Amino acid sequence: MTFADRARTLLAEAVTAYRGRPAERRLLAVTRHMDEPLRVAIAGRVKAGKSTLLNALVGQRVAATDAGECTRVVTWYTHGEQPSASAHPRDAEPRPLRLEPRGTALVLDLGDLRADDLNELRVEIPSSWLTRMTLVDTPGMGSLSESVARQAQEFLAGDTDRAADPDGVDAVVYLLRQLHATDVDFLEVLSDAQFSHSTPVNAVGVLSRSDEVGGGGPDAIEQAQRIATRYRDDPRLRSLVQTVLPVSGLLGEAGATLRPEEFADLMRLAGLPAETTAPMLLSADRFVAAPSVPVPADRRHRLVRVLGMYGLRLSLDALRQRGAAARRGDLVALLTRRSGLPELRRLLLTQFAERRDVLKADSALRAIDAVTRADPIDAAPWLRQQVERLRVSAHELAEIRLLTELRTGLVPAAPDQLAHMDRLLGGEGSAVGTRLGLPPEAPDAEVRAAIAASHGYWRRVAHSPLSEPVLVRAAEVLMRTCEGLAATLPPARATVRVAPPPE
Amino acid sequence: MSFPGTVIGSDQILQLLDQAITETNRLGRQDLAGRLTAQRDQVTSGAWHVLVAGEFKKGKSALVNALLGVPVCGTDAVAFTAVPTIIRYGPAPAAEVVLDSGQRRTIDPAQAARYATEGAIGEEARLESVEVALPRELLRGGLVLIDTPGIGGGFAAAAAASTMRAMSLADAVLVVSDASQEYTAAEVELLRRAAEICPRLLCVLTKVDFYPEWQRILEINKGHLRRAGLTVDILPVSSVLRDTALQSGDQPLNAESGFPALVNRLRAQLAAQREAVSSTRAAEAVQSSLAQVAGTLDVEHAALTRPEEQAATLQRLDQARERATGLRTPDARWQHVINDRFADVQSRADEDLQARMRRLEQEASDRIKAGDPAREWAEIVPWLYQRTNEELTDAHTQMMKLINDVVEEVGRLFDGEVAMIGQLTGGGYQRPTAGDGLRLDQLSIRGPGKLELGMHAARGWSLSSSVVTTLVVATLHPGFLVVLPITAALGTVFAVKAVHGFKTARVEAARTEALRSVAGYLNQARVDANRAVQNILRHNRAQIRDYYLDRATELAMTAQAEHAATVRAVHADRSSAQQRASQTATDLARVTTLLDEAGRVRGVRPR
Repeated sequence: MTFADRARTLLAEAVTAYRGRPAERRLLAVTRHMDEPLRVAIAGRVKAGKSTLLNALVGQRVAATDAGECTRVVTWYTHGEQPSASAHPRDAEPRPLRLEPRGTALVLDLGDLRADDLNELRVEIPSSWLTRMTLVDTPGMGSLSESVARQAQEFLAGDTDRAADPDGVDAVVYLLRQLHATDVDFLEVLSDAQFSHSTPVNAVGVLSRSDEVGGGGPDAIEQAQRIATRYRDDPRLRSLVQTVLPVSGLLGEAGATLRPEEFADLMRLAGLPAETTAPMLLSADRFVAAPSVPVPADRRHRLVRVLGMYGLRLSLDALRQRGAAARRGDLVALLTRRSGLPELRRLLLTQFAERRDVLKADSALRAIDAVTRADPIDAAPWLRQQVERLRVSAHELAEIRLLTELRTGLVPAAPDQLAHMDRLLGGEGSAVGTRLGLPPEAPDAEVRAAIAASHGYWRRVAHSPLSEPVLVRAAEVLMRTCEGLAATLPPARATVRVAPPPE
Repeated sequence: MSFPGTVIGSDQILQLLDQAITETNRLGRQDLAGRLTAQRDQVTSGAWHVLVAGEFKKGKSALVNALLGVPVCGTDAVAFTAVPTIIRYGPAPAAEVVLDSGQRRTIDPAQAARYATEGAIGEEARLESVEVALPRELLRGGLVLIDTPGIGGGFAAAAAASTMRAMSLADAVLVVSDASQEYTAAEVELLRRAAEICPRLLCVLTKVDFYPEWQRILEINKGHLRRAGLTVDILPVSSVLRDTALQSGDQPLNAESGFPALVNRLRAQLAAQREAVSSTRAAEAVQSSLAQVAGTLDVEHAALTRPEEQAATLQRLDQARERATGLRTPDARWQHVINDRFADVQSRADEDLQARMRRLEQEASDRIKAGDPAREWAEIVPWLYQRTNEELTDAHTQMMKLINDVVEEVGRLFDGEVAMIGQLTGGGYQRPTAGDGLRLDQLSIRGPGKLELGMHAARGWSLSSSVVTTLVVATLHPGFLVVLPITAALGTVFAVKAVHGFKTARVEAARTEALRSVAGYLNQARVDANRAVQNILRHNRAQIRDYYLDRATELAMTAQAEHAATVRAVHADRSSAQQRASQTATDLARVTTLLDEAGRVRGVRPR
C-alpha cells in the first residue's frame, strides 16, 4: 500500500470519527480534493503558445488562439457531460456564459462582461483527457497590459499552502521559447517559476513551438530536442523545473482536431505530382496562391493555418509515402508523436500525479492533525498517533523533499554524485530502470546487481566519518530508495539450471 | 548572378576628379593627384557600413548570407552568433579573426561561420570579430555588411548600449525581426532610440515564407512604428526563398523573396549618401587642390610678366614656406590644440561616465533597499539595463559632440594659418582654405558649445550631420564597438529558489547580494564604455592629425613650388620667359575652368 493509500484510509477513519461534527465538512472537502484529477496550470510569456498547447492537451479547440494576444482571464477547464461555462466576477455571483460551437472550435461569449472585472472563468467540456487532468490557462506574463500580467502572477503565487489549497494547482507547465542566457525574458521566466508555488518536482519546462526552431526546417524537432537538452543541463532551470521537453502545440492541436475533410484535402494534395507540390511548399503564400490545384485556396489557407508549414510538409511527405493506403489515424498518430505531447502527458500523469498524491496525502495528514487539535474527541490521540506513524514511514515524501533539496543546491556533493542521486530519486523518471540508468529491457539480474551496487555505495557514504550530516541524511534516504526498488522486483528465482534434454 | 550599376556616384563628379588628377599630375603636383585619387576611390567604393542588428534567433545571419548568396555567417538552430562578422569586398575570398588581444590571424574563409558562432579559438583565445573579404558584386560599391550577435530584450537588453554605439557610427542599420511575433515594447523602444542615433534605419521582417499570417504581423508592426512616431519602412523578406532562387536561377522567386527590393533600397541609400556627402567632399577636394595649382601658375605668370616684383615676391614666398613648414612640426599650435583638447575630452568623458554610473548605482541601491530584491529582480534587471543603456548612449553622444567641437576648433585655427600664408603668397586666387573641406560655416552649433558645455543629455544630436562623420569615423569599424553581450550582463543572482515569506534575514541577504551584483555590473559596463571611448578618441585623434598634416604638407609644397617658379622666372631669358608666360596663361585658363566647374558641382549639392 502506498503512502497516499494509507493516508486515504486514515482520512476515511477520521471522517467516521468526526461524523456529525463541524470538522466533518472540512475532512470531506479534503477527501474530495484527493480524488480530483490532477490540476495543471499552463504558464509562460506572452505569445509562447499557451492556449495552443492547452487545446492540444484537451484535444479540442477551446481556448482562443490568434496571432495577437488573447487569453486575458485565468480559465479553468474541467470535464463535464455537457459543455458549459461560467464567469466568476470579482465582486458578484458567478453567472453562466454561452459556449458556442463554431466549426471544430468552441467560442466563449463574454457578453457585456469585461475581462478586467473577472476573477476567473470556468469551462466544462466532455473530454476524456479532462477526466484525468484539469487544465488552467493563465494570461501571459510580460503582457503589455498590466492587469493581465498581474492576474497571472497572483494566480500562480498566493501565499497559501499549495497542496492543501482546494484552489491550488498540482503541476505547472512553463512554456519557454528559445532564449539566450543573457535574454531579459529568460530571467523573467526564471522569476515567474521561482515565485509561483511550484517546485522542481512539480514543474516542467516546455520548449514551445518546437516546429519553428531553426526556421522550421525538416530537422526542426530534432534541433528542438538539442536545445531542450541544453536547457535541462542549465543549473538555474534545474533548480526550478523537473525537466525540459520540446513540444509543438500546433502539431498536437492539429493531431487532436484534424477533420476528415481536412484529411481528404491533404490526400488530394499528396496525390499531386511532386513537381506540382514542391514549388507550392516553398512558402505559405505560394501554398495558398498556387493556381489550378484541386483543393480551393480558402481550404488550403485553413490547412496551412492548422498545420503550419512544418506540419504541412510533414503530412504531405508521409501521405505520399503511404499512397492510397494512408489512413487518417496514421497521420494523427504521426502529428501527435512529433508534437512531443505524449511525453508531456506521460510525465504529468505518471510522475507528477504520483507526487501529487504524495503531497496531497501529506496535506491531508496535516488537516487531520489540525482537526484533532481543534476538536479533541476521544479518538483524537489515536488519530494523531497514526498521522505521526504514517509521516515517519513515508519514504515517498522524504524522496520528494530530497529531490527538491538536490535541485536547489542544498546538498553538498560532487557533481557526479548529485547526478546519480537525482536519477535514483526519480528525477528523470520513476521507472526502476530509469532510476538505475539501465535500458528498459535490462534483465532482472542486472537490475538487482545495479540496486545492490547503489545500495552499497550509499551505505559507505552514510557511514563515512568524512560525510557531512546533510549528505549522510541524503545517503540514508537513498539506501531506503534502493531497498524499495529491490522490493518491486519479482523474488529471485532459484538459480537451478535445468539440463537440456539428452539427444 | 550580377547586380547592375555597382559603381555609385555621379559621372559628372568622376569626370571632374579625373580631369583634376590629370591637371595636378601634369603640373607636377603628384601629392595633390594622390589625394584626389583617394577621393575618387572614396566616391566609387568607399566603405559604407551597414549594421545588421536585432534580437536573438531572428535570422540576422541568414539574412546576410541570403543578401550575399554565400553562407558566410553561421546559421544554426541551436548555437548563437557570438561575435560580429564584418564582410567587405575583396578580389578573392579571404578571412581573418581579430583576437581580444588585438592580434589578427588568417583563417580559411570557409571556416568563418564556425568562428563567428564559437567566438573563440578553442580554449586558447577569445575573438573580438571575424573579418571576411568576398568577391561579390554587391560589395564592390563599398558596401560593408556587419552581422552582429543578437541582443535579448530590445533597449532593455544588457548589450543594447554597445549596439547603440555601433549604430551611431554605422552608415545604415538594418533592424531584423521575424514574422513569428509582433514587436515587443522593448523592441519598439530600441527602434525609437536607434532612429535618433542613426537616421538611416530600415526594418526587415524575416521568415515570411514560414508564417501564413506574416502580413498581419507586418501591419501590426507598422502600427507600432506609427504610434512611436517613427517613419521607418519595414521590408518583408525570406532568406529561404532567396537561397532557393539563387540556386535555381528562378527570377520570380527571387523577387518574391523580397531581397531584390532590399538590395535596391540599400543601393539607393548608398547612392543618396554618396551624392550628399562623398561627391560634395570630392568637389571640395578638387577646388582646394586646383586652387593651389592655380595659385602657383598665377605667381609664376606674375613673376614672368612683372620682373620688377620678383625680389619682393621671393621674400614673401620664403616667409610663406617657412610658415607652412612650421605647420608640420609637432610645435604647431593646431597640434597642441589637438593634444590638449583630446586629453580634455578624455578626462571629461571619464568623469562623466563615472558620475553617471555613480548616480545610477545610487538609484539602483535605493530601489533595492526599498523592497525585496529577490522578488523584484526580474523587474530590476531590465530597468537597470534600460537606465544604463540610456546613460551610456547619452554619454556616447555627448562625447561625439565634444569631439566634433574639437574638430571644428582645430579646423578654424588651421584655416587662420592658411589664410595668413595665402596673404603672403598673394596669388590672385581667393583660395579656399584647406579646412574648408569641412564646411565649418554650414555647421549649426547647438547649445552653449565648446568644452565649457556641461555633460548634459545630448539625445537627438545626430552624428551623421557632423564634421566628424564626414572627415573621420567613416573609416572606423562600427563592428569594433559591439561588445560581446557576455561581458556585461547581470547574472541571475537568485537562481536558488527563495524561501517563501518575508523573512528579514533573507531579505537582507538578498539586498547585499543584489547590491554587490549591481555594482559589479555597472563597473563592467563602465569598463566596456571606457574602452569604447579610448578606441574612438584614439582613432579620431589620429585621423584628424593625419588629415591636417597632409594639408600642411601640401601647403609647404605649394609655397615651395611657387618659390621655385619665381626663381626660374628670375633666371629665364626674354624669349623663354615669354613662351613660359603664355604657357602658364593657357594652363591657368584650363585650371580656372575646372575650378569654376567644381564650384558649380559643389554649389548645386545641398548638404
